[in-house]
Amino acid sequence: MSETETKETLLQVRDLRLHFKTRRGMVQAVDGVNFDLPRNTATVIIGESGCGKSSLAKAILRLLPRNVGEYSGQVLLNGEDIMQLSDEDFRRTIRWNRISMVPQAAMNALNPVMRVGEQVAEPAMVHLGLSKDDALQRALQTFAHVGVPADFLHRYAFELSGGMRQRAIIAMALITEPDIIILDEPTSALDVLTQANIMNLLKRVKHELKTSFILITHDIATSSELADNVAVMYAGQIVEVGDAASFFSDPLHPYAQKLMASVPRLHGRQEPVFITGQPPSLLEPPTGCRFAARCEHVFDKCVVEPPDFGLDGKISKCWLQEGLLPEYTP
Amino acid sequence: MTTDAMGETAVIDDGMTTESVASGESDLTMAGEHGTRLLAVDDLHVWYELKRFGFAHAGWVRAVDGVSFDLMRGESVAVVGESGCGKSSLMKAILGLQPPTSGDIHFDGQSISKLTGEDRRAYRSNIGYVQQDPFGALPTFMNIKRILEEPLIINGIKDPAERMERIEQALTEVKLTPIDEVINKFPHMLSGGQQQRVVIARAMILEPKLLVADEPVSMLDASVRVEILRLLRGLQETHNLGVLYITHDLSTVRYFSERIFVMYAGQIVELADVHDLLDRPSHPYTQALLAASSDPDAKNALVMREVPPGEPPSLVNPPEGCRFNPRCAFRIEGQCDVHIPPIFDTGKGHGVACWLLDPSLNALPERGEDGMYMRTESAAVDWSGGRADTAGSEEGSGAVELGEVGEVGRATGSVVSVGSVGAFGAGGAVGAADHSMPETLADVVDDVIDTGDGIDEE
Repeated sequence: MSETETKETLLQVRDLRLHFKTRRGMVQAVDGVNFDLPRNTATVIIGESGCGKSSLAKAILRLLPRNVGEYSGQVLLNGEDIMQLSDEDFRRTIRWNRISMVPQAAMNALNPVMRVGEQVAEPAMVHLGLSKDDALQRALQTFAHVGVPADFLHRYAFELSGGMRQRAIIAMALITEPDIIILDEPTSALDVLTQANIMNLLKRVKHELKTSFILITHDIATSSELADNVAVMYAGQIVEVGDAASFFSDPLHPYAQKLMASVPRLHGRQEPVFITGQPPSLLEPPTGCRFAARCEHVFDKCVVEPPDFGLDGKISKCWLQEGLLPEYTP
Repeated sequence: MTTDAMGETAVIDDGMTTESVASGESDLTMAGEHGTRLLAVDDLHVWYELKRFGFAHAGWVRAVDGVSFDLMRGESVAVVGESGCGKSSLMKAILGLQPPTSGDIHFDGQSISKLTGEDRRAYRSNIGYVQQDPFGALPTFMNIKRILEEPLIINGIKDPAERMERIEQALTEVKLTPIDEVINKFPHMLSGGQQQRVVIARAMILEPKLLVADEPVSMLDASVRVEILRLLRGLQETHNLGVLYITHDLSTVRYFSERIFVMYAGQIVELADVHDLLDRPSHPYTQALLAASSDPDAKNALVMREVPPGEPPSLVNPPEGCRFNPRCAFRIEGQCDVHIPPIFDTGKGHGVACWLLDPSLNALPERGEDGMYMRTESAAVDWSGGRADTAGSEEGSGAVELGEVGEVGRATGSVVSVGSVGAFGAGGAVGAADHSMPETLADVVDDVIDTGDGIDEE
C-alpha cells in the first residue's frame, strides 16, 4: 500500500478523549486516541465489544449522550479542527455534509411507516436544502450506486430483504456526498453471501465515488475486505496502527497478535487460540499498560508506566517495541 | 482429478431427493465410529400453512422439505445455511417444539411424534439447548442460582442440597468460578462470554444426551468465541454427547464438528466429513459460500468476491428441479430446472445433491487449484438467466450485462467475478441515473479487480 502513504491526509485524530460520568465513576471509553485517515482510503478500527470503538465513532461525529465527563482532543478535517466549531456549525457543516455515519443495526431502524425513498432523501433535504422532488431524484441516483432498484424508492422497509435494507442505509449515508463515511459493524447481522455483497459494494463505492471510510468492526476477516489501514483498539486506546498488508501478515502488539491468532481460519491447519482473562474495567484502568494483566510478555515496566509512543511507532502502546518485539507465528 | 471422483460416483437412490437418504440404508448416514445411533431424522417435512383472511388455505411455507440424517452418540454435526434455509425449523422439530408435517424423528430408537405428557417432558430433558443470544436467553430477574435451579425443580429433584450440588458441578464444568460469587449474580453483571457459559451450564444441568447449539458463538467476540467452542468440544467429549451445531459461519465448523450438512431452501444439498467438504466442496452453493468467506488477508481488499446473483427462493413456490438452479452458474438446461437431483455419493460418505455429480451426464466441470469448479464462457453467461424480477431478486437482472464483460478469470483463493460486480448494476437504474461521478462498469471491474495470476477460462 505504498500509494496510501503519499496520499493527502483527510482526517487526523489527535489525543481524542471521551469519558462518561456514571454513578460508579468516570468511564474512560475513549482515552487518548490518535490516528490518520488518508483521502480515499479505509481505516478499519478492530476491537472487541466494550473497547470503546463505537464511542470513538460518536466522539468523531460529536454524537454525545448527556453524561459526558470529558470530551477533548483534536479532530482535524483537512487541517481544520472541527472540535472548535459550535454545536450548530458542526451540525450544519460537518455532520452528513462532510462526515456521515451508518450506525450499528441501522437497517433495523428504518421507519416502518415511511417509504424507503423518502427516508433516503431526507438528509439531502435537511442538509443540502433540496426540495423534496430534487432530493428524491438524488436518492434515485444514489440507489443506482448501491444497487437498489429504482422502484424500491416507493417501497416500505418491511418489503426489503436484509441486504437491500443495508444498501438503502448506505445510500442514505452517501446521498450528501460526504468525504467520510463511518460504518459501525455494517455486516454483523447479515448472511455470508449478503455480507460479501455489501463488502463488494463498499469497495465499489470507495473506488467510484472516492469516499473515505472508517470501518468499525470486531470481524477481522471481513475487515480485511476493505482495509487500507488497520487500527487495533483495546480498553479505550488504539494500541497498534499499520497498513493492512503488514498488519494482516505481521501484527506487532501482543494483543493484536493474540487477536489475529484467535480468528478461526477456513484454510490452513493452525488451531485458534483464545485470550485468557478479561479486558480491564474502563472505570479504573490500570496505571501501566492496559493489556499487561493478560500479556505473556509482561515485564516490570509495563505495570508501572503507561507506554505511549503516539504516532511515532507503529505500535503506540507497548514497551516491547523498544527492541523486544515478539515474533508472530500464525 | 475430476475423472477420479466421477469414477467413484454412484447414484445411491433413483427416487426423489426427499427420500434419497432413507435412514440407515446408505453409507451417507452411517458415520458410525461413535457407536450407536442417537438421533434419526427420516424424511422430515416441516411446513407452515399460509392462510388468507385468517382461515382460507393459501399455500404452504416448506421450511424443511425432505431432510434425512443420522446422528451418532458422541458425534458433532454442523448444519450450515443462510437465514431462511430451514435450519431453525429443523431444530425446533428436533427439540419437539414444532410437530413435523410428515416424516419422523427417532431419538434413541423411539419415535418422538407419539410422545405425550410426561414422556414428552422426559424426552426434552434429554436435549440441551444453547441459544444464540445469551443475554436474551437468560431471564433478567433471576440470579444464576435460580436460573440453573429451575430445570432441576421442574424435573423433580426435590432435595435442595442435591440441586446445589448439581449446580456447582455444572458451573465447574463450564469453568465459571468462584461459584459462591457467581450464583448470586444476575445476568447483566456478567460478560457475554460468561453469560454464554451460564446458558451452556443450564443446557448441561439435566445431563442430556444431545446438545443443540444454535449459533452459540455468533454474538461473541473473536477471542471469546474460540474459548466457548473449545468448552463445548470438551463437554461433548467428556459426556459423549451428540451435538447439532447450527451456524452460518463455515470457519468455526472445522474446530467443532466431524460432519457438516449444508442446507439450502429447506433441503440438505451437501453432506460430508468437514475436512473433505472444505477441501473439495462439490455443490455449487457450497462453493459459493466458501468463495464468499475469507481469511484475514490484505489481498482481500483488491478483489471482488464472487456472489451468486439473486436471493434464496421463496419457500412457498420453490423452483422446479434443483432449488439452486436459478442462481447456479453450472446449470444444465433441461435437467437442473426440471428434475430434482438425488444425493449422489462421491465416496467417503460425501453426498451431493447436484446433477453435475451424475456420472451418466458427464457434466462435472474442471476444478481450479482452489478446488472450485472452473466456469466456461457459456456457463458464465448463464448467470444472467433464471429468475423473473420479483421483489428481492433484483440482483439477478443486473447480471445480464455482465455476460458482455465476460469472465474475468480466477485468482487463486479469492475469486473475481463479474457476477458480483453486476449485482450493483441492478437493471436499468445505472443508465437512467445522471450523477457526477459515473464510471462504466467495465472500468470499475478493470480498476478494482486485480486479476493477478487469474487463470483464463478455457
